[in-house]
Amino acid sequence: MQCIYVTCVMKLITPKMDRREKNMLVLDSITKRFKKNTALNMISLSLPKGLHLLTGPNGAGKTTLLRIIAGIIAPTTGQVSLNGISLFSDSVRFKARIGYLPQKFGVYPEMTAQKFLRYFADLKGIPASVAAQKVEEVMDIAKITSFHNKTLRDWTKGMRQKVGIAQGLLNDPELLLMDEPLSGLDPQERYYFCNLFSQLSSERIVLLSTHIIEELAALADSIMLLDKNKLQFKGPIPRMMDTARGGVWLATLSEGEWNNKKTELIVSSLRDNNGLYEVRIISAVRPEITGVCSVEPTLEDTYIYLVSKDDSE
Amino acid sequence: MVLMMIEIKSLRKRYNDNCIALKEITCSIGAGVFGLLGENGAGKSTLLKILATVIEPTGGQVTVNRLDLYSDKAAIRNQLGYLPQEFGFYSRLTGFEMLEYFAVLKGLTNRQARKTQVNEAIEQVNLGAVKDRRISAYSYGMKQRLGIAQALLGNPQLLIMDEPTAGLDPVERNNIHNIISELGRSITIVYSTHILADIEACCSELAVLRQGSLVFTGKPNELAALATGMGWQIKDTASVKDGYMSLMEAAR
Repeated sequence: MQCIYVTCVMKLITPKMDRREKNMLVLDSITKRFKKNTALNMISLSLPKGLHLLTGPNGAGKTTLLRIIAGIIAPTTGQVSLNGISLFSDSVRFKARIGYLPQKFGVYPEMTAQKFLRYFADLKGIPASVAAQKVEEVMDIAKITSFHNKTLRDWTKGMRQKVGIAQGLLNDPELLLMDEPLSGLDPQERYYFCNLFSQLSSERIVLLSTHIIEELAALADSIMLLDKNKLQFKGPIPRMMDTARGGVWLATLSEGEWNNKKTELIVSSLRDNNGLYEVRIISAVRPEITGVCSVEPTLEDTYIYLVSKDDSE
Repeated sequence: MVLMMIEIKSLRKRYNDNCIALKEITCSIGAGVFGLLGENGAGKSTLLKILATVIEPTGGQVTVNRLDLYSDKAAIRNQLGYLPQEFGFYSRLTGFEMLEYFAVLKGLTNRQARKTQVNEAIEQVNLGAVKDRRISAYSYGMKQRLGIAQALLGNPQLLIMDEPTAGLDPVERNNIHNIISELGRSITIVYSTHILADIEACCSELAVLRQGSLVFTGKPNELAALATGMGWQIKDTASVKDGYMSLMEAAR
């Protein structure tokens, strides 16, 4: 998939520091408990350079995990390190190397994007001599240059989201953490930023959470599925899809059959076929329906298969 | 069952003095599921709000089954269900209680008939198992489905929803697709989205808005066909996304 917009990105990507050292984010046995609730249970993973997706049901703990890696909240137990630098014993050096977009990103409404980003550049300790240049660069990359003199009060949600993405790039981070960066963006913007994240990931670790895995599937190096406090899958997307093979079925039902069966079936898609219901069914065993046949799983089928395992709620 | 036919003619909407949200929109929306795509700020929510009779247009005409949207507002509202982009919930009520409350507001005064309707709406969005739980304990996806149930009270023939899938996880998004596909067999549904897969999953017709104007109306495969021969790399067949991207690129 070629993107015609993304050529300007390459200048940001040139790394300033020597990154021949092992570029790796390592999480070791991360557990997080809130009072009696366990939000995350023994999460371990190591991520090399590349684009990594974090997905899972609402409330599965994606945001909690990203907040822990960003150093916003502490895990109950476990270790986080980036290129051998520990988040807990060496947190200043760790945090200097990351860029983070929180799920709810607030802006100061009285500032223009330029002033806002300059403020963040100062907070991040970017030397004054290069800060102005850096702000221009990230505004260019996030495609917000044309609104530079409007105060953020007048910006739409999607435009503010782009300021948040720009802010995460200011310090040329080795690890870019983004919590649902595409939310509120329209289809063209989504397409542009998907490609941007892919380009950025050639030189750094990009970890982003998303609900719409289809858009990033072709670009991502790996995917992590967080559900019921645990990583239910981690690895390349094609391997995730293999797990659902043999668990997806296609059947054509009449109105009456559909009404009888619909509460007991897990349905991944429903289409009208000349007055009949064409239904894709997720089931580890062959459903008891006449004429049902096994089909190849799509990404969406696979996701539903994995999160509906062991319980049908 | 009455089939809905919406005719929109030269519809214009201007906010304040200088912000033109819609300019000269003309299209017709028939039975089935109608999707609305477009950039942020293109006018999708404005168009949906006008169809839901929440705001008035500056000019032009909209008729629903030949009834004028503004002079026959009450008659049209009788057949209308609407889920706005941000819907407020009473989190201390249970799902059932909130729907019952809305049903009273919608004029369902007969206790037994109201109860039947509320339970039907709950079944349609698969919330039966949690209907007696407080809304504060609902997940985001359950709330969104409750919002749809609210719109279904009074058996509307026209259902309007503004980004019903925004922020939902894949399973919940899929639940909404299934609900839309099933309802779309008997009523007209108009909804907006940023997610092109939503369109492919359920829409029979769609429109694309850009800067207040309609730049496309037709079927999903017709939009996809626009990509052919426009220099976009196409895998096996053109997708709705390919078509959308080439349309927007050409409109620049």
